[in-house]
Amino acid sequence: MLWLFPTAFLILLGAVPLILLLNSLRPRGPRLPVTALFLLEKVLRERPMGRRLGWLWHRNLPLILQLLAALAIITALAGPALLGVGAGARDWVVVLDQSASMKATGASGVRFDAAREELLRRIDGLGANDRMMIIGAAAEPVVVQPFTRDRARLRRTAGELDATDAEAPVKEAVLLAHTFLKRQGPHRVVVITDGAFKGIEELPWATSYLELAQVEGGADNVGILGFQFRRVPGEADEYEAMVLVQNFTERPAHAPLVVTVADRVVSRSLLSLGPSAREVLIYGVPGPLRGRATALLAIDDDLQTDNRAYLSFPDERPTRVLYVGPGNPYLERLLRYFPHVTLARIDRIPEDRVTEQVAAYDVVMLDRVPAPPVERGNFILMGTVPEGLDLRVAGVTPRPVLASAVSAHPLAAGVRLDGLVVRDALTLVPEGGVTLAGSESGPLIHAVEKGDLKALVFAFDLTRSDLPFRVSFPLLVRNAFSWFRPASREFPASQVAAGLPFVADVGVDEEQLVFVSPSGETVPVQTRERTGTYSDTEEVGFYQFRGTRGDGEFAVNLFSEEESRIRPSYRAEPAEAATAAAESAPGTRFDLWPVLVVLALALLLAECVVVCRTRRSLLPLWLRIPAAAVLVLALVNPRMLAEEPELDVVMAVDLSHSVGEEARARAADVLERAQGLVNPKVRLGLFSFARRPQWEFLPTDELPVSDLPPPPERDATDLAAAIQGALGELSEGRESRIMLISDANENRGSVERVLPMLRSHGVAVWPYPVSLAEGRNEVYLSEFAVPSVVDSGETFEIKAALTSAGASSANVSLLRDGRVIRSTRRELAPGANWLSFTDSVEQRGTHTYELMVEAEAGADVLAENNLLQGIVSVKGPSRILYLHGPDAARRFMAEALQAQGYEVVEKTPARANLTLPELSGFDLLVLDNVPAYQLSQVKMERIERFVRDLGGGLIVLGGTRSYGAGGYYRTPLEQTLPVEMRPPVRMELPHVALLFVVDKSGSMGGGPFGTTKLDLAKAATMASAELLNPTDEVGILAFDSNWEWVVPFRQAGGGESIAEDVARLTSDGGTDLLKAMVEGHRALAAEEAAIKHVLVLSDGLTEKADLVEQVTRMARERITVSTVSIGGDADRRLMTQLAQGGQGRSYATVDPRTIPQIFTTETLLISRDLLVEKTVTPVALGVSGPMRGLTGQPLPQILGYVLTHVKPGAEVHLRVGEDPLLVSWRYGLGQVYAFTSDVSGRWGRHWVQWPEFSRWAAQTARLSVRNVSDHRLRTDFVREGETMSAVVDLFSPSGRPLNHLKLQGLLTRADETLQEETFRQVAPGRYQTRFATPSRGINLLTVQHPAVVPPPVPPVVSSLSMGSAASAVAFTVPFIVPFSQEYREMNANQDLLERLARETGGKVLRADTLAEDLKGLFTADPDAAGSVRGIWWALAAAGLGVFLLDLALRAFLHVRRVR
Amino acid sequence: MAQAEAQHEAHRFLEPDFLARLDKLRLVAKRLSWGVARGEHPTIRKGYSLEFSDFRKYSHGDDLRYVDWNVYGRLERLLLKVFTAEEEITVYLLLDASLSMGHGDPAKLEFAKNVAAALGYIGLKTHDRVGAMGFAGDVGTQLPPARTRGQILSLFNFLEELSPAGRTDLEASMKTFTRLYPRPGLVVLFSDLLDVAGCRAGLEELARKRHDVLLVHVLGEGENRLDPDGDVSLVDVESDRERRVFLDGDLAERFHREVEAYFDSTRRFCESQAMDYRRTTSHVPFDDFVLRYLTQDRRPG
Repeated sequence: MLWLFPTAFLILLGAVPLILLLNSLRPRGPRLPVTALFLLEKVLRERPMGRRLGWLWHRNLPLILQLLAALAIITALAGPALLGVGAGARDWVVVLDQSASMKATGASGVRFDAAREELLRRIDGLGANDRMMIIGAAAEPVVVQPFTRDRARLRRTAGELDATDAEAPVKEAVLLAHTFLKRQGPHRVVVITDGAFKGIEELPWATSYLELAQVEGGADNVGILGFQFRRVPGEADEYEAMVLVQNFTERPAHAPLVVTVADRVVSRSLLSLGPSAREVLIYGVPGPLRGRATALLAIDDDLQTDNRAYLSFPDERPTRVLYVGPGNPYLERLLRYFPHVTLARIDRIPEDRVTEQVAAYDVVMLDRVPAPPVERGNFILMGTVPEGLDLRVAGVTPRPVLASAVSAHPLAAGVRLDGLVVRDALTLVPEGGVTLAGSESGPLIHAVEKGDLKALVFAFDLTRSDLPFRVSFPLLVRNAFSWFRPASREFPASQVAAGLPFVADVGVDEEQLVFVSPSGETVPVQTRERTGTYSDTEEVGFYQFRGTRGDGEFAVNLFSEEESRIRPSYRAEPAEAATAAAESAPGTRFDLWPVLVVLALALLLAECVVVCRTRRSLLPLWLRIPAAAVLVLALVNPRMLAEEPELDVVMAVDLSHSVGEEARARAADVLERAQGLVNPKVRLGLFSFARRPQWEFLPTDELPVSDLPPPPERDATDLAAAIQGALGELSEGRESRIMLISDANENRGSVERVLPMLRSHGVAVWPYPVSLAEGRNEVYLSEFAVPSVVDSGETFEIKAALTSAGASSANVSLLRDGRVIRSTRRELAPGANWLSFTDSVEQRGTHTYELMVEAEAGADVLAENNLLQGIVSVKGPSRILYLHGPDAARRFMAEALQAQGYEVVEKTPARANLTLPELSGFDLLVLDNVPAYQLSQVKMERIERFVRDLGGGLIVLGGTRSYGAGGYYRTPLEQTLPVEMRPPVRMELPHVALLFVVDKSGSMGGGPFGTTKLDLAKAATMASAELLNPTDEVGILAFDSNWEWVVPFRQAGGGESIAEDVARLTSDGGTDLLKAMVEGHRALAAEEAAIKHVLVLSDGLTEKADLVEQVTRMARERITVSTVSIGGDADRRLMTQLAQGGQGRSYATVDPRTIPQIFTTETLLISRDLLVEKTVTPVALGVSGPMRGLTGQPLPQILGYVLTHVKPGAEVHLRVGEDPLLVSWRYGLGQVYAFTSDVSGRWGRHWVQWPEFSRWAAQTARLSVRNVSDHRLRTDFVREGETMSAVVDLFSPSGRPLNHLKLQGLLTRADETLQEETFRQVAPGRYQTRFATPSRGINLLTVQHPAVVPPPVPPVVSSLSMGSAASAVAFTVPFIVPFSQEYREMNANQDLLERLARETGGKVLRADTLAEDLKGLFTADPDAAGSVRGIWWALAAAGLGVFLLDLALRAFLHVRRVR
Repeated sequence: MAQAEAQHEAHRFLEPDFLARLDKLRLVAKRLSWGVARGEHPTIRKGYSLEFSDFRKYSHGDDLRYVDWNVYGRLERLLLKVFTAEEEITVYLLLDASLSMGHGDPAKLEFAKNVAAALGYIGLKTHDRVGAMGFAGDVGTQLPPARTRGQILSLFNFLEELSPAGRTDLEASMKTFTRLYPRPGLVVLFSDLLDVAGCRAGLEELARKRHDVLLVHVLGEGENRLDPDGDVSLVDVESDRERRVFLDGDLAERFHREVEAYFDSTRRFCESQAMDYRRTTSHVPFDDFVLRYLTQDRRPG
């Protein structure tokens, strides 16, 4: 009753002075003559005080009662709910786990029964004002009961619920439940579950708003987790059956397993499963498979659902063929022998019936008849060419001679056409497609594939050639049929997991399918787009469906490890329950008006009694009777008297990315218009949604100002959750409507599931379509298909679909590995436009294809959806990426490897991007004298991951710019290598005086915070100081336009104080290097070190005068100078001159992050004898490995090497003196070899001239190169909304499915984070894993079969429990996650919106008639049931009025009487 | 109102009906002897003639002088001759004519007048001297005591003309009375005794002057109680003083108790002074009252 505030309330409060006035108007009673007044006065005088007060009370009792009664009514009218008195109204959202594991039976009964009892108990325990909502967590979370206080209703709902056979996302349901919780208050989500669901540990049970009510019962289970048949590839009628059984108990289990096909037992075995063991059982089954297959595990465990598995083998629908022509005996005879083919024959096909015929038949053969234009369908054309194919007839060629034939095309498999004789043929000019056989004048047999159109074109009359007499003819036709209808016969049985929708393919003219569930429930399903989707598969067993064209059957199985593991993975701790019990005092809404009205009524009656006792005249009191009667009536709160129905409109605004700001603008517009339309009878609520709904305000008649903050996670649209969100806050007794501002492009959940609820609650949906495109044209890439694996040199097809809302044109560019290889301009028709490209790649490895669309100006809105990527893996020999310094003259190693047959890609570090997808195309990476500072930190990290996670090999060859001398110290590269750069500390006399001259001028301060050049210089000097021996002298001189000793020369041992001093440096001022150099010269000259070195870090933008002379002077005094020029704008020439003059080295870097490496390199170089340049003979340790077969003879000498130190766990193969020369270890999945000498003319002169050099190189490469599986494999990635599943089919080289493998997957996401996955065998030779869909981009999945022996793993990798051994790695597959579904469809799904409106009784709002439509929306349906409302307040007000009238009349009568 | 009533009943006392009732009373009085406390005040009674009135059986202790020996001679029964003493006493009829006496239904004064008329008539018939006075603040109109034939008419006229006025001051009135009529006699005092100052002093004055007092305490019906009626304005009939009170049951009860206590104390006072106290309400028929008074044994104990 907020509406009464404040004006009406104040007016009503006027009743109080009115009563006082009436009371004072009334005279002090009648004049009564008395004779003994003096006695009375005596009595009055003698009265005690207490009695006097009592008398005062008594005397004014009626007035007091009147005032109290009036106040009670007024307060009642004022909406006393605001007082917040009364029992606390709490919102309870109960999530009831309906997953299959709830069917587990224990000693105490079925879990779900216990859960239902718990629910009933909680319903009984509800406070008077508590509301409860029930969310059933079945295959999808569904609000089965919106908020209500009606306990009977709740109890009824609880009784109707039952456990399903499906895997239930309870966590999702809990998250959904939380969207219904008000933010403040003692509201709570209660999860009634057995605690056996995924992600239970992640939920915040310790919080006060989430409570776990755990039911017990049963723990032992042995279940079938998989059951599938697969045709053995290459074998026509031979199948393998797989049954996956897991023991979820802690003790061994024994049970007979029976597999039957069509009631025939194909296998009967006694299973013995160890504790927690999982077993894959494979049976060979001869075909053909018909009817039903079941696997039955005869065990009496606590969960029965998973002891049976079902499969259904549908009868294949025959291929319907229409022959149009004069008759072709060869063809007709051939087709009769084809199984599953029905042939119809007509003489000619009328043009207007082409579409009809194409829809009715699977294949249409046109033989020498004038062909109508075709757009879609499957055609075999003989001697005729219709319009629509990219073929032109240019006459007739007599006696064409076969010139070329293709064998790679699927149509041509096994077909040999040499010597084909054709009398005459049409001269065809192809504009697309593949010519299977052609003469010099054009194609003879041609295949065209264009979107939905497939055609095999014979340019000649079959009867006028010898083709029908050839063996190839039936092959060609059969190939054509399987090309037309690529039926997935590999897995003959159709089944879905419980809870997942089953999609039945239907003919184009079928409009309805009738599904019959195992329990006999019949559900008709409207088909859409040639499919009928049945989603209510929450029961395991066989489902049948009937259509006009035939019947079908499919099986539903549980097959969920999560559900079969019925032992709870989490237990509520008592402490948590205690926390949950501690509750804050509620301060919430409670309708006090009935109490107040009762109070008023009582007061009025009391007053009546008092007045009656003291008055003789009862006349005015007659009015009291109607007043009391009216109040009693108010208490009854009659509802049917409501004149106008009442309405709640909930505005649900889609703020997902696909609509975004448009929807917000519309919502703001509607809100503004709605201001004038809402009133207490018509209220408006508002919430926004994307992935989840988020209430802005509940239905109210006083619209608060709202700027609609977007809900989190806008990358998905879940209409079902949104509608459930609105349903959750339904007000009882009010008509409710949902105004849905959305494009209805749902990509999560399904509105289908909530439609029944909408209907049963009578909630109409009024959609207001909105779309980002908003009528404008939108062009996007809807499909992009590339083959995942091709042979080197194989020509393959790339198909793409460009969807455009309207006619438009666009530039389409196809890029391979970032380079444009095709670019065309396409006219786009509305709808999908299919593009096709052919390409072939020689290079082995992965190649990224990208398709980019640039629509003409104004024809496109979103850019996000104009690019799709695909990855093609090209099979071929092992590939090696060979990185070498830019100045390397000859790459002997590369030459040797190439000679060994490896494909070597040589690059300089700067030109190699070294992205993981790029690297994944190589099997070995060779770094030949590559300094770390030429590789960025990122690149080195990727090299590490290439080795560790992708199993790539790494060989590092030394040289003067490698290892310590190459700045490997403290880099990921050093981490990867089996040797480390920093030698153990040697305590010696000081012999190094190192001076850092660091530029701190303003130009050094650029860059992001923490990574400015100066910051990096600081870090570098600190790291360098650490490298020095503690007794060495180090000094830091900073300069700008002046110089400053940051660290005067001191012993390097005081590292910490140096760090402090360095940290003080700030960048400022100009640049004058010369002054600093002069000062540095002075200081160094005073030092007595053997080696005096200056390292200048600057961008070189300084006065050049005399600098070179200065360094030359210093060099003469044996003070060497090295320079580091930093930044793209650095004066590198000057810096190089300085280094030359100072007899030092010059470094240049653009990336300031390499400064530390340069500094440490310099430090190591000058402080250590890192480069050992002497002639030594390597000593081989061990006879295996890279030196196998090479140790019997003397090894060639080397002339030098870089000093390194062996890490623990590494294997040394070659050694020079005490120092390692060739060391290897396994790092993660990969093998790393470090060769510390060079393979060039400087140190390895003898080594490369060694006759066995190429053998050594090959052996080293072979040992380090990634293991490539010789299995035949196929991988497929299927995106299933939030998750992706990777399916790997593995076959042995002989084509048999590989079973019983424990495949491990390592997923490297596009953002380079790692994730481990375990594959589960789901069918013979098929393994599957599911993971959360990675972010957009190229992701890598490395699949390997882990071996038993864990290898020595560097600490960083050991956190990954990845076993790996020599034979472990199978392969790495890149896959692409395209842009979010959110961006796919930009136009509103008008169909769905209209359907929603139609099926719920709403109306689609239109922008042009918005004002009127809104009026309609905000006008309650007068006939709507339940639109009534209590009118107690009117009655209560009337009661007050009558009462006041009564008082007035009384006063009037008194006045009269006295007068 | 009282005025109008008086006008209306101008010659009420001469109406045959009234007179008949008086006669009847006289006959009763004749038989029974009127006289107050005969033998009690022998010294002040001078009986000259003994008028035989009746016989009664002798009982032990009776004065043998009064045995009718003639009868004994004839009937051998001892019968006592009963004589009516012919005493000449003065009867003063004092009527409270204050305003409060004008109240009651019928008015207390009217009742008092009727009783006074009856007693006066009886007194005159039995040859007593009868005088009458009205008083309020002081003695007002007077009818000096006389035993003449015309005295009865004078009494009637006097009573006729008596109308309520003024406030009661019993003490002053009695003092004036005793000063004017020092000779002791039978004082019949008609009053509601509602004197703010109390009635004790006035009554004492009468006792002191050796008057034989019959106090006829006249009250209106229900005058001793108030009905709870919430807010009322109580107006004093004598002083016109108005008092607004909320009259609840408690107050009414306390008032009633106070009034009763006041009357009770008066009665006890009267008893202590050997005064005859008669309390009546105005609606009792005067002849019943008189009759009861005359016949009942007035001596308690």
